[in-house]
Amino acid sequence: MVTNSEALDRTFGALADGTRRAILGRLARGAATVGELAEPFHMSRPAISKHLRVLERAGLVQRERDGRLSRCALDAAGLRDAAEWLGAYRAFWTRRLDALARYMERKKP
Amino acid sequence: MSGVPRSVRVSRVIRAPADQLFRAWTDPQELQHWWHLDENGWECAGAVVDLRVGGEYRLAMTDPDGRTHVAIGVYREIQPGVRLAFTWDWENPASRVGNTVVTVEFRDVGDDHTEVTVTHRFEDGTRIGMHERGWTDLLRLLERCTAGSSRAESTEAPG
Repeated sequence: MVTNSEALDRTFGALADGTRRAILGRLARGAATVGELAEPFHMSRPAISKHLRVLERAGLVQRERDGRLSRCALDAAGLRDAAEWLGAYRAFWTRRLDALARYMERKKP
Repeated sequence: MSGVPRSVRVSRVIRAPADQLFRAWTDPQELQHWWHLDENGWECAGAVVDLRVGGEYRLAMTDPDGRTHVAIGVYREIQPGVRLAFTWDWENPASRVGNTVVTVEFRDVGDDHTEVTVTHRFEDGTRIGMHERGWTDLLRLLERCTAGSSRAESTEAPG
């Protein structure tokens, strides 16, 4: 079970903040500029940018350049990696219980 | 990191009495036999068990490439045939996760069958600590994200 602990620390650190979760929720509906993101949160652009940098470093958000315009979008691969980490442990224990069941079947006289 | 502990839970009904299953989890000889039974190339490379509260265990596994992974921990709760709890981590410093606890529960469901439930809890202070809300939101986002991209694919398909 290979896990990149540091990357996951960053991911969950990023998700621990309510504003950042709300930003992700907005981006799930589609890409947006920093200005579009700042508006509903009643926050300054620099404040939103700071949250976006945390999300970018965590691999949850990526910036797309469209000419002079920079848009932010969800990074589906980053989200998937984080989600699969817990799934790896689920698979690990499921396999252990499968092996135990097989072992018990074989032990039967 | 603060937040509600997060856990993984799996269970399975197995045709065997609870005390026999409890022994399979706690007897080093038995653990060696089943831990990686039938898994391609994986082997149990040794089990050491000091079965008392505060006692340590060490469970070595060899992967198909010959690398050894060692799970280590301390028993926290021992109720033969009912419940077993132990801390869980990897011995290799690069793989350390920190504060995690595995609980194995045995429930007699009749007719010589027992339900075995494994709960692996990643507690506060776990190196890969996580936030309950964050986690649920992440999964929801992922779902939406995936649904969105498959819709996009179908509209772009030549027709």
